[in-house]
Amino acid sequence: MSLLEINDLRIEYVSARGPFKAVDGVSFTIERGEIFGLAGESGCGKSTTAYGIGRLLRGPARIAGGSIRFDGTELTELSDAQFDAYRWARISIVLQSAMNNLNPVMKIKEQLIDAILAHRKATLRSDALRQAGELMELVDLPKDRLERFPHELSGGMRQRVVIAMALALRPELIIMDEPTTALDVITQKGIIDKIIELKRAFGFSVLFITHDLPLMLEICDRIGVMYAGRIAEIATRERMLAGARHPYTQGLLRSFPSLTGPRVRLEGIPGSTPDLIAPPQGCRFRERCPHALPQCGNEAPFVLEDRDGRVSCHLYAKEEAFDEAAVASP
Amino acid sequence: MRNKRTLPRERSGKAKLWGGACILLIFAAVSLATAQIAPYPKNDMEFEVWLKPSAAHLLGTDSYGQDVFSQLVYGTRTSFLVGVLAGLITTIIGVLVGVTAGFYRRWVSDALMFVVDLLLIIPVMALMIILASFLPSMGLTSIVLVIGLLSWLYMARSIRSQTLSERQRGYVEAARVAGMSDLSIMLREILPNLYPIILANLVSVTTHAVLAEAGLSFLGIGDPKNVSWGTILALAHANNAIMYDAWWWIVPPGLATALFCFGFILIGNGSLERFRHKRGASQQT
Amino acid sequence: MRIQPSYAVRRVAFAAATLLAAIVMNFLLPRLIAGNPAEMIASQTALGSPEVAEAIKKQFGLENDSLLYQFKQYIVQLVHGNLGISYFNYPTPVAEVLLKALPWTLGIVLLSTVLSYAAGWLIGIRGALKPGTWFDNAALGVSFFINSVPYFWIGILLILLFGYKLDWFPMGQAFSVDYDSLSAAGKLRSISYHTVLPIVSLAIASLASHILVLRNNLSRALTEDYMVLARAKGLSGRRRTFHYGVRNAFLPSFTGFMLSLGHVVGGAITMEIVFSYPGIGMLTYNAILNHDYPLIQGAFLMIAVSIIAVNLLADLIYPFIDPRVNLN
Repeated sequence: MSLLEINDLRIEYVSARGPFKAVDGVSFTIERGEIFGLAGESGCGKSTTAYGIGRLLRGPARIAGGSIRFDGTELTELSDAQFDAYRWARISIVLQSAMNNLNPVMKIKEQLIDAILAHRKATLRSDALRQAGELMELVDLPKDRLERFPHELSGGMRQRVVIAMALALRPELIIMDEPTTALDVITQKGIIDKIIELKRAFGFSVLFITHDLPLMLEICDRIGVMYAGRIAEIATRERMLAGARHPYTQGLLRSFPSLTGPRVRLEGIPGSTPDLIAPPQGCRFRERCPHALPQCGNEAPFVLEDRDGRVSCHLYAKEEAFDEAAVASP
Repeated sequence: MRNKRTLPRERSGKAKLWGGACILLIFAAVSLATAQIAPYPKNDMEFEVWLKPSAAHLLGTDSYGQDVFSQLVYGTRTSFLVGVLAGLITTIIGVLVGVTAGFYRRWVSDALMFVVDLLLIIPVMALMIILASFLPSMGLTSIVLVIGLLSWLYMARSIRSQTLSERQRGYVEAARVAGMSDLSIMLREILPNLYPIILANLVSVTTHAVLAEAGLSFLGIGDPKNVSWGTILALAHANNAIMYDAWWWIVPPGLATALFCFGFILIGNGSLERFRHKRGASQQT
Repeated sequence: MRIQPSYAVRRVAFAAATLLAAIVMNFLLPRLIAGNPAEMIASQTALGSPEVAEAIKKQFGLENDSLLYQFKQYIVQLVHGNLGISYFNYPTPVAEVLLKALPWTLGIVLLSTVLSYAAGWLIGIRGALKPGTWFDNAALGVSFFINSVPYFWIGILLILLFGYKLDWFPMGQAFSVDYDSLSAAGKLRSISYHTVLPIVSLAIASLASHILVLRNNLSRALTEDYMVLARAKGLSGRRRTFHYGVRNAFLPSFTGFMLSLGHVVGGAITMEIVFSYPGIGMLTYNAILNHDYPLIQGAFLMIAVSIIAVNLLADLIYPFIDPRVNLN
């Protein structure tokens, strides 16, 4: 059984013109000990998906349908009080910007132990403080930083604190939303290495969200690529490195410079994403797709599923009749 | 995702602007046509005293036998004039100081803001009292000047911080590279972007000016010959209107200031909402 | 947490500069404005009394000494606590008249500030936590209304309602007529009874800005990332609201709170007149009516000094409350 199974998840924001379908039928699984990446341009629904799983949606948003099974339990059916047992203890989160993750007016130690004390009510404060010290060691921070306030630490240190905090209750799943975006390259590298090291030591799973595909290719076991509220393609790292199958993923990969690969001209993908209040029929990428077929306009994309992953695209409707290489090479 | 909330906000911003404009137009009309609207001449004391409101005297009469409604109409003109003129003076100084302090870094900015912070601590009301009581005579002009010259501090601060953030936006650098002079960058590039903030501030300083005039009149340092909402209240209090249960002499002037300020507040909030809406839209692209 | 010396020195220096500015203004303004009219005022007010005429001359700098020399004299007098002689209360020194009135003003200003700040907190927090509800909208509406009417008008209305119509509270004065014959407890009771309406009026009048500021700060804090993280951590609603939200909302409001004291004092001046309350405001009013210039100037200085002192105190307390201040 997978740790997390998401099936046909739909999340809507209330708007004056009608529901804004930020996530519209998303399905994927995360295995134990796996780092699963969710990629896509901003506004594609990757963060909304993650926040939906953690019941952290802001504003007038609601889960409109689908299922989220965590370790066999259907999370969408739990009451808020029941879900509290899952918060942090089993699912924790590392948030986007390094700056405002931490409460500016509380000492680091208070913020590390308040989650421990909230969930393990019998814990003594002294024990919680000892645990906080151990957590700091885990992320290579000196213990005296516990007495500091967030503004007294560098951005990289703050993000290490946040990761230590996420580990406090040894959760099985950590959602990481752009954990390194605001940091410089060297700090970024240190944090990523730390995450991988800790994952090996504790065996948690990670839902890793970023728009930085090369970074994702470096650390994720499998990658899901989202476009306009849907998953275009899920592929193993090996499959992605060998060449993505969905035209959108191909375009996305081409818009990043590669440090190791041959120098290619960077190209963004022309066009803009469809309106998610009244999304178009058929494939949502059609308007921007260089390989669009007539049936893309009205039929839902063909879904090809194999051991490499899953791709939703009409190009793969008749695999045998289709020369894959012709699509893959620009 | 931002556009999901901007539609109603834009509409409400517009509605507020229109509502506020209507209220202010009515006040402007009243203060222009006082003689036509007021049923009796100014300071006419020919009636019986302490009359309750009736058809002949919409808001009754006061202890001098003056028609309260007529006095209120004449008072509108003074309060309107003081509010608008003092508000304008304040705005001009506030914008000048704020933009200068925001545009020039280093000592100009530091020095100006030091002075502003210094003066902010000293209570303006007390300063107005001392100025007003030492001026040889308190005409409408002196009142306008005293209020106008002493109220620009908060505004200078807010304009400065907005100027600072405008500076961060690329266009100022671009204009400089293009060889524009400091003055024309300030006037042509920065100032137009500040209009909504300026308008919002204009609103609050005008409101403040009307209330300050009322306060000074109440203290007896206004122009004794002029009628304003503040002098009406001062007279009502001095003549024990409360003991005569003469609410018609007490309540209307206060409500008039409330309605007048409400008009300005609507305009200020409406313009801010529209400004944020536009900013939000332009940031997305 | 301790105050860094450089910070403390800077704040004290700033307070000193403000004080100097207030003193210079107090010294210069009458001299700049007055000129010839002062002679006129002097001859009108002195009413043939040579002592008063002499005092007025000194006050306005009508002697032929240089401005600098006059300023030196003025400072020397100030250092000795000599603010001149009140014309109206001749020959009582201004300082004595002011000191008698000060406690009354301080009492209603401080109590009403605490009251309105506390109420503003409760209302502002509730509004920010449940934005758009009838409660929130009503609070906002009332706030805008209060901000649009003169302070003293609120006082007059409350007297009309609770003093005259309902007769729950006295309509003015700080104590009853038979005050001198009362026991200590009776005196206290009389003072408290008389002080309710002035305090409540002043509190209502200054409530609006507290509500608006706190509501604004808290709703901004609630959208911060650390609030999302606090929710993800499974912290209780109470802890999230108070330790994460309200604490962050409080800090920026603290300085504003201190700045607002100036407004409250300004409001207290007119409010005291409404209630015939024997504080600095009433004193100033009478001084204006009687052209008692030394007293007007003394009152201004007294108000300025009190507010500068309170602000300095706030600046020095602030680092204990907000850990971020000491940094720069």
